[in-house]
Amino acid sequence: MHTDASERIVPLEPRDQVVVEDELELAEFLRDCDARKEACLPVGFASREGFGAPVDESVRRVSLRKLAGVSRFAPDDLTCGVRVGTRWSDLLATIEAEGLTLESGPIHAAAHRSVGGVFAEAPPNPRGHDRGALRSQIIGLRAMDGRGAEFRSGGRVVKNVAGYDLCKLFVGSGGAYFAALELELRLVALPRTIACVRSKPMPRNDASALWIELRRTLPDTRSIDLVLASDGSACVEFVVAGAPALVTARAKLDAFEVIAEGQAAWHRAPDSLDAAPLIMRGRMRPSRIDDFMKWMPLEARGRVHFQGAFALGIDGTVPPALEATVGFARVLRGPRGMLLTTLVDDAIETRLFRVFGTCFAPGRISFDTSTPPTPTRASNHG
Amino acid sequence: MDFLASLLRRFPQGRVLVDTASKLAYECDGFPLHRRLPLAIVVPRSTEDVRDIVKLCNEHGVAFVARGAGTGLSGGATPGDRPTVVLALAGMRELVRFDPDDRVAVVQPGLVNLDLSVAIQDSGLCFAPDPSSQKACTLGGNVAENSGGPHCFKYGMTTDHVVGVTLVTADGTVRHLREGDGADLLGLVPGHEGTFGILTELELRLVPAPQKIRTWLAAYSDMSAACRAVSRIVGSGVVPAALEILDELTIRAVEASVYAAGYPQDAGAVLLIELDGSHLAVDTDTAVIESILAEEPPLTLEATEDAEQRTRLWKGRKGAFGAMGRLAPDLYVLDGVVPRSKLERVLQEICEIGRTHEVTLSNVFHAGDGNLHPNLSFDGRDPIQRARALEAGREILALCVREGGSISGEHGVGSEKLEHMEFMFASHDIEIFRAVKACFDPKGLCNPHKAIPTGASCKEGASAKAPGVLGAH
Ligand SMILES: Cc1cc2nc3c(=O)[nH]c(=O)nc-3n(C[C@H](O)[C@H](O)[C@H](O)COP(=O)(O)OP(=O)(O)OC[C@H]3O[C@@H](n4cnc5c(N)ncnc54)[C@H](O)[C@@H]3O)c2cc1C
Repeated sequence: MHTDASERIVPLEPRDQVVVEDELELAEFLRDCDARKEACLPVGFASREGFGAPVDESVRRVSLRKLAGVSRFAPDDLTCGVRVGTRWSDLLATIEAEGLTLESGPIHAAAHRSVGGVFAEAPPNPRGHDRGALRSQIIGLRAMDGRGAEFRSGGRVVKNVAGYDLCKLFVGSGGAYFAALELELRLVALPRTIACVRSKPMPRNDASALWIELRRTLPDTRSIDLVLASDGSACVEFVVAGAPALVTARAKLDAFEVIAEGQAAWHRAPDSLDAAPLIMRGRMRPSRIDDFMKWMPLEARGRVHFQGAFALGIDGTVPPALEATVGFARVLRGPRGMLLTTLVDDAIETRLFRVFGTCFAPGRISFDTSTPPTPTRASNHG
Repeated sequence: MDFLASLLRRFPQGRVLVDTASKLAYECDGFPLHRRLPLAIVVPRSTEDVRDIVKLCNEHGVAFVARGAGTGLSGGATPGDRPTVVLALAGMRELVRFDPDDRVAVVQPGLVNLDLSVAIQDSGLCFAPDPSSQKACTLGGNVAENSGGPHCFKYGMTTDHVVGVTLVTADGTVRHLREGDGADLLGLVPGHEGTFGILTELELRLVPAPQKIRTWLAAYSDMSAACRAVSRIVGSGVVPAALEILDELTIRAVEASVYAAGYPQDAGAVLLIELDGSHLAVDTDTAVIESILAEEPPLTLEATEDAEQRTRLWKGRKGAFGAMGRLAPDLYVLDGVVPRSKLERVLQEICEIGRTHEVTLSNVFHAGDGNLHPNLSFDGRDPIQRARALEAGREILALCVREGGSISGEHGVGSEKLEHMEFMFASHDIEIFRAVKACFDPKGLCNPHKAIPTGASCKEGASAKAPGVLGAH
């Protein structure tokens, strides 16, 4: 059982959305939206909205939570097929019973997350920096377009380049293009030994210097995070996995201690950003960590992962200078209208919406400071 | 002004080639069964050059295709069946920026794969994707094809190592796509086979170069035993950098060629296993591999951590396609994939297909991920042999799909496999793919009739078929 603080989040009541029983009902629902020219948004357990994401009341939400279950499991081939409404925790329970797991996954592996929701949201995840990032784990997809017609991309084998890779388009789309029905996933063996190792708390600048140093010099890690605490201190945390002798040797670092072992270390999800009025996630270049820390409000908490992806809870507002140091960020929860921009200005992105029918609501709520957007359409949520 | 005159006015002499000798050099890639002379070849040096060429093509309705080193094995860089301009990108080969802290390198697309790792070797980082053609193929070609290679079993395909690209789309717009930047349009680009636009800059992820590498060559009496050893290794949870198998015929061809690597000639199959990583990781995993090899004992076993010996062991594998030139003048390299657990049985059926069609068939493959390369050797001057090879290829790919696999693991669909796409995809899937291409290329000028069947003809690519010449590799 994988638990963490975000399990306390209550998903939206079914009355807020249409809960389809099966794929036929979903097709009917989508055709209806298409005919009425109404926008719709596929959701799983709607935990993103429960988490505080802004809700556009004009968008019809359709929950796919009943399209659930592991549909195919081939442990010898390290692959499985899973329907999108399956709880993330149920998927993990099934595959881990056979000694397999996913190389990366969300740090808040809450029970109320659906598999489809996890990939559509693509939360920053700590593992998979050298191999097996979240987006690489989907090897195939069956989906429904906005006219209720089914289509496929990819396949069931771990290596396949036939056809365009629409699986990638689903990852992080926020449900903007189409309704995924079933995903084919690449699995890995659950490491024999796993340890989560943490340094003592220290001033933030010392911790960020240590983080940079370990990223450069510490081999065999599955993650290296810079963890910021709300008291203004920080520490460095890493996961090492593999043969027992390897894990024991790597975990022995001066001033570090092992804080979790085995599956508890693999699924460790210690930070809760629950109470923060503003939650922001994004990506920065690790080499700019000093600038990033300089502008970071002292009460900000959360973590920065190996490749610079971060999720932070902040009490006040995002300092403008911080915006300038990150490549990309979006606000998950915050005062309405603040820094929320729907990126539909890009001609190709807009054309892609049309490929799959126009009924899906743009799901991405972003601000992008690397190339300031000039939206052609106002924010849905402003 | 007509199109060629506009091109010649924009680019200095020597950078627009229209003579027949030059055109002949660009009439096909590593898949010699499809060939066609281009209208012209243009040699750009910068993103601006590429933008201007593409804009001109757009204005005049002329098709264009990008070409890196031309080592592609599916006809991707071959001019199509309408007058086509080739953009020869091999000269755009600068390492633009190298940032060890962020573990990224920004390169121009014509940089050769191996040259990147060599240029940064002192930093302790390297670029992981390593197609066997890595001494020649370009990084632009790798991204366009989403190339694999022996070491992608551990490190993933090229797509897993692309952080950003600059893409000149078919209307001449220069677009910068980065990871985590709006919708994951970037993720669509690797494997587009040059059909969305021209890549002019790539931001690539680097990984730590291994501190230690240990390689085994295990020779087995038959293919089944080699496949069983692979299953055990994958099942153990150890992730080797590479797991490659060569069959009996390939061993003999290699050993009789300049690529001779000392493989035992009485073996039915050889298995190459490679571990890489930190000293400690390699040492701990070595114990696991050796206990598996003790349970599945080979006829002979060689193990080495010495760089020179390793190069020798890999020489046979990397030169295998070249060595096939000894078997017949032409070679048709297939690229099907099956679930790894079905390898042994599917290989038997593939050999049966070869026998039925009376073609010489050998196998070299990435065993860890079930990516097969059945090689059909034939004499393309003989229309009967040629037809048999094509039919055997078609049956083999249909078999791979029936078994739950794919028609291509890494070489792409190009013009070669357009007809085979229907094995994997329904007509609505193909319509969606076509609509996606149209988002990048509404006029259909960018490498038309490649990667995705256009519906113009169910026998697409056939018009470009001409007698095959010597196998390109
Ligand atoms: C001996 C041999 C061994 C091989 N081994 C492997 C292997 O192990 N794994 C593997 O995956 N492949 C392998 N290949 C196939 C081939 O080398 C790869 O597909 C390689 O990535 C092609 O690179 P290239 O520069 O030669 O591209 P080209 O052949 O020139 O072009 C390939 C495709 O990419 C497009 N393209 C090229 N550059 C650009 C650009 N800048 N922008 C947009 N599109 C572009 C072209 O239009 C074409 O569609 C092998 C080939 C040979 C001959």
